[in-house]
Amino acid sequence: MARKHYTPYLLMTVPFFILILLFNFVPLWGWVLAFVDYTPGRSIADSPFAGLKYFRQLFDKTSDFGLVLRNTVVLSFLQLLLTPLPVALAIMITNVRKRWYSRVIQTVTSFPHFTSWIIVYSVFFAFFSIDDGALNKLLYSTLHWLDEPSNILAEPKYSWWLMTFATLWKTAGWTAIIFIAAIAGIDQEQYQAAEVDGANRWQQAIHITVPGIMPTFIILLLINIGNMLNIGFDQYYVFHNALVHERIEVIDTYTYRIGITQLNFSYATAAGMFKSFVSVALLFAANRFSRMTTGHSIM
Amino acid sequence: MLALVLLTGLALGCSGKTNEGGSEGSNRPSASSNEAGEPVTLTIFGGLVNNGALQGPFQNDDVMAELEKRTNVKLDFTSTLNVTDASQKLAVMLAGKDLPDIVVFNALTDRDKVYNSGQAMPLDDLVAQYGQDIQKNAGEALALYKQMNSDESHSLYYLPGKVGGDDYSPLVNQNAWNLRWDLYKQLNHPKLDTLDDLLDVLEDMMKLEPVNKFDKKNYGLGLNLSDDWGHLMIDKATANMRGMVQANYNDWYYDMSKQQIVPRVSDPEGIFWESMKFYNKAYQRGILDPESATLKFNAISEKYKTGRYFAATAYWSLAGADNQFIADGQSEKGFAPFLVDHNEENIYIVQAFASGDQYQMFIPKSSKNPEAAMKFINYLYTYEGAKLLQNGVEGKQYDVADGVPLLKDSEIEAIQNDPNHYLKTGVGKYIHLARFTPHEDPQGDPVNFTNVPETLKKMALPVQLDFMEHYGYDSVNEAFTNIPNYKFDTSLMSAVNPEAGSDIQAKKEQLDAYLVANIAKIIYQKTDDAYEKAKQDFLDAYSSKGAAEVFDYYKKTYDELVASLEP
Amino acid sequence: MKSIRLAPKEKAFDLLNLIVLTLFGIVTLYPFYYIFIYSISDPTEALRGVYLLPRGFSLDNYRQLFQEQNILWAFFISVSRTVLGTIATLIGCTIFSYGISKPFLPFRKWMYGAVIVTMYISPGIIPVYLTMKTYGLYNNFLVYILPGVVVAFFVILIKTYMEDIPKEMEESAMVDGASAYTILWKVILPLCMPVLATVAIFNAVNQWNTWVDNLYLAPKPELQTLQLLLYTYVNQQNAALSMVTSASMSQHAVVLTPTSVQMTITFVATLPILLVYPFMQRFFLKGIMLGAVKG
Repeated sequence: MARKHYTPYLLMTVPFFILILLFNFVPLWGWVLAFVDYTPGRSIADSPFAGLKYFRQLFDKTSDFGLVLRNTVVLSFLQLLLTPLPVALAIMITNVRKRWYSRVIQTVTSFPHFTSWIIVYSVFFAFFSIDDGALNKLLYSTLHWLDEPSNILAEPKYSWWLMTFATLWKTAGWTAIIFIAAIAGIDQEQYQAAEVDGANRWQQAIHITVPGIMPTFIILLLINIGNMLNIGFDQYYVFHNALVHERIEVIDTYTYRIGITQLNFSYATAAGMFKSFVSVALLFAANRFSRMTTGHSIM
Repeated sequence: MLALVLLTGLALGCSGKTNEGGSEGSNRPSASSNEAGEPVTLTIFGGLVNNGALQGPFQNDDVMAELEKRTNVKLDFTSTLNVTDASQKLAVMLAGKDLPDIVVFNALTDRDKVYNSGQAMPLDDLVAQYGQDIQKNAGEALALYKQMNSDESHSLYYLPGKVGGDDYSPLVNQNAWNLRWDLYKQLNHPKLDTLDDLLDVLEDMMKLEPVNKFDKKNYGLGLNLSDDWGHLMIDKATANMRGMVQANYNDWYYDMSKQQIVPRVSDPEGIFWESMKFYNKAYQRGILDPESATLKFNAISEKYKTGRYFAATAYWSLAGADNQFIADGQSEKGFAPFLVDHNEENIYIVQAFASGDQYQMFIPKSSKNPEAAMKFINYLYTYEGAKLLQNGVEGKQYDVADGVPLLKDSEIEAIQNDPNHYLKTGVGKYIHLARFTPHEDPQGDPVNFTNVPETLKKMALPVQLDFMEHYGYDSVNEAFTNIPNYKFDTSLMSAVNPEAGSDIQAKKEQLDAYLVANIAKIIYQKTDDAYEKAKQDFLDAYSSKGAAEVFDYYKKTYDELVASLEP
Repeated sequence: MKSIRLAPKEKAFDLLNLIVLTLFGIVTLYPFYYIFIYSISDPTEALRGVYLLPRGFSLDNYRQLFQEQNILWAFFISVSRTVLGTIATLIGCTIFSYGISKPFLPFRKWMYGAVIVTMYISPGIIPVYLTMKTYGLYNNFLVYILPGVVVAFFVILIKTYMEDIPKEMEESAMVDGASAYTILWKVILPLCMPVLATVAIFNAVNQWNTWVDNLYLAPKPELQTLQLLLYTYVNQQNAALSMVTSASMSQHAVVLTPTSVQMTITFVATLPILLVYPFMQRFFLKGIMLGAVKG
């Protein structure tokens, strides 16, 4: 093709690419902070060189990083297992006969996305607390199904499930939006042809809808795999207490605690760098695997 | 290509000394001279307990209006607006070298950052020239600071706050057991010689009043262990009663009786673990609210406020419980402080900051008008300045009759009824700005007018009056102030810190993180054997992280500091 | 219009669908409802426990909040950044995605790869702050807009969507001599409505909720957003409420509790977006009625 054929497309991409560089890559000079003993106010050139000290601190045997990494990975893995659920939700919503009801349901299921974790905790607390919670009032005081009030929020056995359920509750409706949009992009003729052939809705869903949104699904899955270590801060900080600490402490809450007094930027930057490299590696590995097996990939 | 980008970035970043013209908030012509009568505008960071109280860059409350009149200075709080995490904001400002004319910061959390940034201006000359009152009223503190909070030059960089102050109040006690006075009376004033006695008393109180007005179960004790600082409440009153002072670091006490530094968490036989055992027993006996593990401060305050606990280790924990009883028409109910399991000679119920508290002040090198700043700061070190910040303006908040300043009744009522009243008056709004907070002025009169005897009687709650009358006290804390030694100055303890980036600092952070995350579990063991095992496991893990080494560092540094300050 | 008689299996499918959705709907709606009734309850009465109905009735929470100075201006700033930011991001991401979806584009792999990587790297607040200062964006309204013009996640979504569009549609337009921009505008965009609506709403919500950039990168009062104002309001109330250390003898005292304040904030902060929400829905819920009553 002639050179000038792709000029308009270059014009479409390069200027925006420069924006990406300016706002996302240029500030990465800050990674230098992980290698020096940095104090804000002192110029970086003046800060003493620290080599790999902060990275070593991450993995020191007196550090709890191993425990924290395990929790992060387990929780992420559980969440990954649940990625099909928003898809199911989207399919269900788009299969409701009355349009108005599907709109209502779609709106309502996305409400949790708007509440901050602090509020979510308040609500959970009002329900599950061992002293006053509605659940205990019902099961223990009124129905006497339990011998003693349950303390779900303080029971390490349930922590992983509780957190996964909370995440699901908070994100399912919102993520479903993406799939609803994807479903909207599927050619209607396919459904009409299938009806003519006598396929019922369940079959339609399996054979038309699911393959139709598969590219989107794979991509979201890959992105989430890359994000395994970035499971979040707010949720786990808010639900944390000493009794469930060993199950709930994740990378971001841990590094926050370590750096909290005197704000240890170097340590935080080192942890951030570690996460970034692992995430990118995970993403590209998963991407390659997906390309070889399913044919879909991000890149 | 990526490499090129990163290099550009590095170049940009290294020239982080970007000296842009507009720094924070100074869009007005400042640095005009005082003599012309035009007020000078000084930008300031910090100074309030609660930055949400700021009404914008400039304040229009009574105190600030008067302060401006007297000092000819307008304070511009732009950099402090909306700041909820002052540490983070300060770090960002230091990094950008974007500092206002005056900075107030919390040395407990930001000391390393600020000191190492080298952004503070040496103040010796300015103080000599414009700081007469500072020298007069805070001279000793200055000398201490030149020694402790400086570098090899021993210049004065940082100015101490709340010099001469302490947290004593005649009506409430922030450092001892507060128990329900009305229930205690009903039980016929039982003895409180040991912690076990306290457990028995609390259990009896629970029998007297099993539920609160909403029919919810009451408990003797509650803790907010889900907060990062919740563990500090475990030995709060108990250690204080034995004359053991905890400040700054988590693993030490100053023992007032032995007059030396001793370990706190790493001593299995010390008062900290006695307190742990106390709470564990309370848990096993159902006296401790089982929800304590998951409670945060907001939640526990709500429980206190609705009268569900019978004991607190500090008056502020009660979150207005007394007021709520009064509002409910049950003014006979309320709390008063008691001596429990105490040392006869030494207790720690008043934290003194003769040489300043942790809210230090400095003038950044980049300040455009250091002389004006110093003149202003000097006023803060005067008795008039102190009285203004604490009491307000004559004619507005109080009137003077026969030389005695009396708070107006309307003012007293407003304080009691409207939690937001201080926003209009400014009284109590600028707590961390205060540099000088003595109890009495040179004539012996109270600096804080709520301590004037007539006013005190008006502000006391019925419970407090009843308590004082019963024992024949003039103040609620008389039993405490009768103990020979009840005050301690924690400024030296607060000055000991590991070097930034050192091995000791890394270990300390690990120890602190481990303590906060794991200590509460031990209280929740259901049997004594399980408790002992949990305790041992904790101590093993804690010491394996280097507890002994860090403790030795702190003790040694403290002792050296004390020695260096001997005259 | 003829109604379709449903086979029993279809009816079962429908019923099951409805039940599950309704259950999930209740589980997600209830907490929000709880927040609302808590905020209109009397704050002290609410401490008894709020379940299905408010306890007492009190608009004190709202009254107190709307007395905050600057709340209208902050609202205006938030609306501005949401609207302008969303428009800018939509334009940026769409154009970029279209360009990058062309397999023959030079440097395509590098650019796209770099964009994806941005999802996983974050330099920390201090380098970002210093960089923004250097660009002159400090205390500048544009700091709310420019850094977010190209968002990797949206680019991925849009690009994937565009790649699913049959090539014939573009090719026939090109044969007619249309330029790249015309094709994008007239052919591609109309087909991408669902994903664009999704991106718009995701971005709008994000813009509406962000306050960290306000705090560190644009602290001057004229640029304050509603979210930051609300967040500081909560902290202010918490502090004020803990300052109550004297007797409160009057029955008319306005006494809020920290929880009631937080509930009110949540409600006020979320309501505007929720009101706008249904308008966006029609773009992606349109035309998905599968086998439904046609008419």
